[in-house]
Amino acid sequence: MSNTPPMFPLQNVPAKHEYSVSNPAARLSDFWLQNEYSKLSLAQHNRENRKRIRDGDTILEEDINESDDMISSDTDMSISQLSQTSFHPPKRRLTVLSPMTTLTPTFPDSHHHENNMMSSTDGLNDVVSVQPRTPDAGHTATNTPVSDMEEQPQQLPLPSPSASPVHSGMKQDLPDPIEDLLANVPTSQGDLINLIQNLSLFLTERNQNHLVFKLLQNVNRLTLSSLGNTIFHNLKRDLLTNFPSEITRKILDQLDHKSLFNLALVNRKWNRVVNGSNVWVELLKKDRLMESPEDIEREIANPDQLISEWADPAANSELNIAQLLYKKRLTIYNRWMNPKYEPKRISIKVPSQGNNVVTCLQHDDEKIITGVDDRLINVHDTKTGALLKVLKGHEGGVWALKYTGNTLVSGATDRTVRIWNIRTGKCTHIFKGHTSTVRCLDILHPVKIGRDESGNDIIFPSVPLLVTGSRDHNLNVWRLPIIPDTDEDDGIPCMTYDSSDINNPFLMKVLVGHTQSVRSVSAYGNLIVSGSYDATVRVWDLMRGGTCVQVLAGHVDRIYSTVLDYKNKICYSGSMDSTINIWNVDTGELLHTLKGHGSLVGLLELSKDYLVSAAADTTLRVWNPKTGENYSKLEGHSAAITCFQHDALRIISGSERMLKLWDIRKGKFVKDILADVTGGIWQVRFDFNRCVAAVQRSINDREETFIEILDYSEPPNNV
Amino acid sequence: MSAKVVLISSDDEKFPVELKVAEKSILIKNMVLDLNPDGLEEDFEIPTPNVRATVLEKVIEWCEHHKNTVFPDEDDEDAKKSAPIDEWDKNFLKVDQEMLYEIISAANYLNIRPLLDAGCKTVAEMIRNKSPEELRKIFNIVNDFTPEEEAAIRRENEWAEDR
Repeated sequence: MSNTPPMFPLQNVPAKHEYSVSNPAARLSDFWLQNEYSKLSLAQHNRENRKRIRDGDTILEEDINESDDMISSDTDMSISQLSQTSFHPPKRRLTVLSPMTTLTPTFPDSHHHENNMMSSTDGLNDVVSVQPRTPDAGHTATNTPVSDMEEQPQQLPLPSPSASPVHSGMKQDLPDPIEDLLANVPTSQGDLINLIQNLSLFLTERNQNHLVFKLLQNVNRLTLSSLGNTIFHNLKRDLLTNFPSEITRKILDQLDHKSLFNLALVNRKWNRVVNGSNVWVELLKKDRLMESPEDIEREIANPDQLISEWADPAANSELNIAQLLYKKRLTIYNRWMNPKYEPKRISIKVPSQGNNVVTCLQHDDEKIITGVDDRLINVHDTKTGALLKVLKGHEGGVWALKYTGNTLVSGATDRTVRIWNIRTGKCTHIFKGHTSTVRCLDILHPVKIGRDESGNDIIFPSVPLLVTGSRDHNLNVWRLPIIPDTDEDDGIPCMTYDSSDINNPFLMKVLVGHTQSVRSVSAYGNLIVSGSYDATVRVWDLMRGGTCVQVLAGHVDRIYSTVLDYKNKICYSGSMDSTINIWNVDTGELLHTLKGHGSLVGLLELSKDYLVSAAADTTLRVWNPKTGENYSKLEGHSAAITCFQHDALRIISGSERMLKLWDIRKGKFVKDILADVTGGIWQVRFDFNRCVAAVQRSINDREETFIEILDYSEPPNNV
Repeated sequence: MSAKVVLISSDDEKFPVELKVAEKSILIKNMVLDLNPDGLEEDFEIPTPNVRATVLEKVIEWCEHHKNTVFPDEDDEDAKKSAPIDEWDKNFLKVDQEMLYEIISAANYLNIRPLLDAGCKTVAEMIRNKSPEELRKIFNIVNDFTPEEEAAIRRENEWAEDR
């Protein structure tokens, strides 16, 4: 049957590299000497190896010795095969044997190159003197059955490594060891095996390999299979910690935290590798538990609080701070995503008259600042919810607000822009100039926007700027006064600066061009992007004196939201025409139009991986910000989305009576966060630790506004 | 025939390969460039004293297969890390652990980043989602923890278990 596989699969396989024959014409005696020397240096090596094994450092050597035993015991089979075929390489080799009369030695040790070729006159001397310098011969330990060699009768006077060079006379003094071996004709299977094995020691390492291969060619497939399995099993080795540390690290970087914890349980060495590694810093970033390397560094540099709050007090192993930080972050994240987890909740009624809309909200670890359309700005304590300050001054509803440091900026229907000291609650500046409601604003911080010809960073703007957009169709660019971070009242009264004053030290530029209300503004570096009810997006360049460099026309209805991706020179606009456009701000090219929403796209937000849009059609959509591919459509709200925020892991969105948490990567609903809200969700913001929302609730048939703080970060240790 | 790069293994086997193939190794690429600033005019021998023929042959096989592959930008760390192993690479690296160890070491020494990455990912695949006991079996490792130590580590890592 042609389909029958060959009984001896290796029969026609050519020998390669380390097991191909080398210098078949080379003399045997030289190699015998060489082997004897190997033995000397080998004995040394083996002692060292055994010592290392005892130390528990590695078990490799042991295994290889076992496999050697296996090979020699299985030679029974190959020997019998051998006698059935006409294939007798060792014997043929023996017949070639001739007494050592002329020396044509080469030095075929695989660790030496052919330039070790010796001249015929002093070859032997060289062999004698070179050999002891090659401790590498210890390698042969894994290939030669050492124990048998040692049993070999040591009748021969061995030249010692320190022996002075012996000349050709030595040849006569040496009895031929092969003849010696062959003097006893084998009479049993065992004798023959021993003889063949001993004879094989006259071969170089490479030719010994070749002999093994020749023997294997006469081994049947089932035996080969069994041999193969044994060999394969015994080639197993520690593939993690024996590499240079940078490779080990590359492997660890591929693993998730659960796999890493399993590694730490394998043995002490692996435990040290996992716990001593910086892999946890990488994992924090990879799992999106912390985005900014600076934040991670800061937390790790000051670990006292982290340790006292989050370290297992019973733990006795050495603490890896990055791992502890990972534990904290993952625990908090898991709480968010666990539908059963109840966060610590603070609910604070906002002291306002009647049903007032919270139009804007910004927060950090210390404070929550809300702008309300009843003319007030409230500052709450993030940890307790206590109302710290009420900023009074605006004569109309506050509709835009943003703070940096201790400086708060607000815009209102009273057409003014006000600057506040958050700590004192005092209004420090009033900017007049807009002739209608100030609807949107953004702060421009000095940032690196590129390099000049001599390679120096270009920083722009030189001082912080403020840009405000109004229903008067214009945008005003102001120098932003920075309020020092102090609660002491400087006693300076609030100053009003009017744009009609040509000496106004704050107003830098009025950007004129839009023909309808400016509804949205996004600014960074030298660029300002504004979206207007005139259905255009305009790009203004402050490096070019604030000229309008692009009018991005394509929408057919009012624009409600804009986002600028300065680095990629792309901007996004959401419109009442229910589409989102992606524009190249340099060329003005419309790159993509994202369709799918059924009505007004009022809110847009961009992160590294996602563009998220929220619409009046009750849905949110997650998009690839580069290609415009729609990743997911989030359905579940029953009214227009009023507010949302996202990060690399989640989205929180609000609508009438609903505040929902979504897994952004899966595009799936996770849970309702505030189930007891009876009115609107005006605003929602979150950070890694908590969610802050401004909501409306009916109390005794009266609509009241509440600030809700949900804290997921409670530490396990009560300190 | 254009001039070739002749790689010489530690055991003195010679492997003549196209320059394009050899250049997958940044080490060799730079060496060729430094010593032949005017281009390769005749066969150029480069010994690789840390790589034996059996390993070098495998590595060259990989370079040969990927001679026209454009690998992602070195800078794009994230993309490189999360990218799955190329299907061909995956099969190519289905070798015994000794050979895998040797290929990874050679890729590191010869500076062949994509092969090194594929090798590390292959090892990571062997490790991922395995219990400590399974890992010991896979890599022939003896557990040298005392039962108390092992229990303590398990307890410390309990928080990460699924609940």
